[in-house]
Amino acid sequence: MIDIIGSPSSNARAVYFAFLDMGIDCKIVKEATEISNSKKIVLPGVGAFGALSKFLYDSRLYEPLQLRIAEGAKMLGICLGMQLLSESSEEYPECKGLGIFKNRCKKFEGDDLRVPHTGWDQVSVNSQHELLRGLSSDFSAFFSHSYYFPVDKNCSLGITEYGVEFSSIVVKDNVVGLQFHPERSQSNGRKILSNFADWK
Amino acid sequence: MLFKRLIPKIVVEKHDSPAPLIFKSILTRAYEEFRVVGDPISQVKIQQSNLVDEILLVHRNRGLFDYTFPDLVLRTCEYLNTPLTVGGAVTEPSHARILFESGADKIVIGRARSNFALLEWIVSNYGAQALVISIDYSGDDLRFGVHKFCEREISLGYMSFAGEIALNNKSRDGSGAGVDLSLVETLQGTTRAPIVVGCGVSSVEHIADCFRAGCDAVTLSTFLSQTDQSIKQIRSHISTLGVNIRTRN
Repeated sequence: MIDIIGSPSSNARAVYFAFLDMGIDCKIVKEATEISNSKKIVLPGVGAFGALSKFLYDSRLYEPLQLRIAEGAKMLGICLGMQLLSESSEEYPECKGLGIFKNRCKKFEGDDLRVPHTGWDQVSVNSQHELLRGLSSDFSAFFSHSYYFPVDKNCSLGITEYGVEFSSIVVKDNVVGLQFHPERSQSNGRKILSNFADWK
Repeated sequence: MLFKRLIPKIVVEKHDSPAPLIFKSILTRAYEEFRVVGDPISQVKIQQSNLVDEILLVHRNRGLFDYTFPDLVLRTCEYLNTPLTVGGAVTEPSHARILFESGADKIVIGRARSNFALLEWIVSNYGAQALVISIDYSGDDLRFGVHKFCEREISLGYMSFAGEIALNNKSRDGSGAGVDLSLVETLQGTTRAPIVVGCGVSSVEHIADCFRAGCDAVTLSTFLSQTDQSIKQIRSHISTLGVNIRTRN
């Protein structure tokens, strides 16, 4: 069973349908009690860093999530959900992320750069991981974001370039973050979600 | 490097037959119904199996927001593995919310683009990347010149909210006469948002022209039903013209 955190502005339903379409058991959860025994959690995200951070606090999910992660539950953060795995973001400096990764998300800058970074872009994978089984080391995925997770040698597994190089996949033990949307990245995305379901 | 995008546009309208009030996908000319094509959900499935970058689903609706439309979006999303942009008389936050909750990734705002409360609400709740502002104009709107028209649009003040700007010269819709790119340069100078154009494509060369003009995406509707090339073939063809576009997954 995969538990998908359903914050009000997230596209939890899109992730839910993607798993369902592949015959994978999942449900959308909104309360801390629902994740107390979770083995696999997805934190999808669309919208603003502040809004999702506030939702995690207000619905008292913040500490239970950190606890589940510390206890070894597999965690997948998608797009804004990945950024929430960092310490904070330039988007709402006063709001805290889950702090799994010791980074701060930044805004794309540059005169010639179209922002948001919207559309399909290339992900270059620098080492193998169970979640990327069946994908080539250079695959395309759908992105839609204005802030990015800086490259960190210790955790950046996939890198994409848009004016600057940024982390499109980050990994730390049982936690994975994807800047792109696997639920909207056709067969490449489906492979990653199905690998997540199989991740032991 | 970010790929240029091809976006099939599926326009739907409510029809009385065979069942009462069922959504049908249609082809349009100058935004008027021209021909009924079939079932929108089948259309979406066909398109997304064809290596498209995104799908645009629009309810052709000049009246009030139709609260049965989100149900079609929801049913579409059950099968979707491709980004979905949705439009159709969205004038209030509640309309946008129900469409997002039904699975839309981005919402198109056209007529209501000077409603700042609405734009601000979308951006603060869902982020700027979820807001596409569409300028649907006719040849007549340009009678005082492109410059005057752009000036008026810029003065409406919505540019800073937009995650994308869509430009549609509806006089060219279904005409196959090529896309009107006359506004692109001026608007590129005033917004950092990606620019999407449509209306008038009837050849691969027309699509390439849009990308050469600096547009980020092109929407396709009538063209896809009239060409004997598959989208994959169209993509390879565009790629050989030097455009950075996906030719495989």
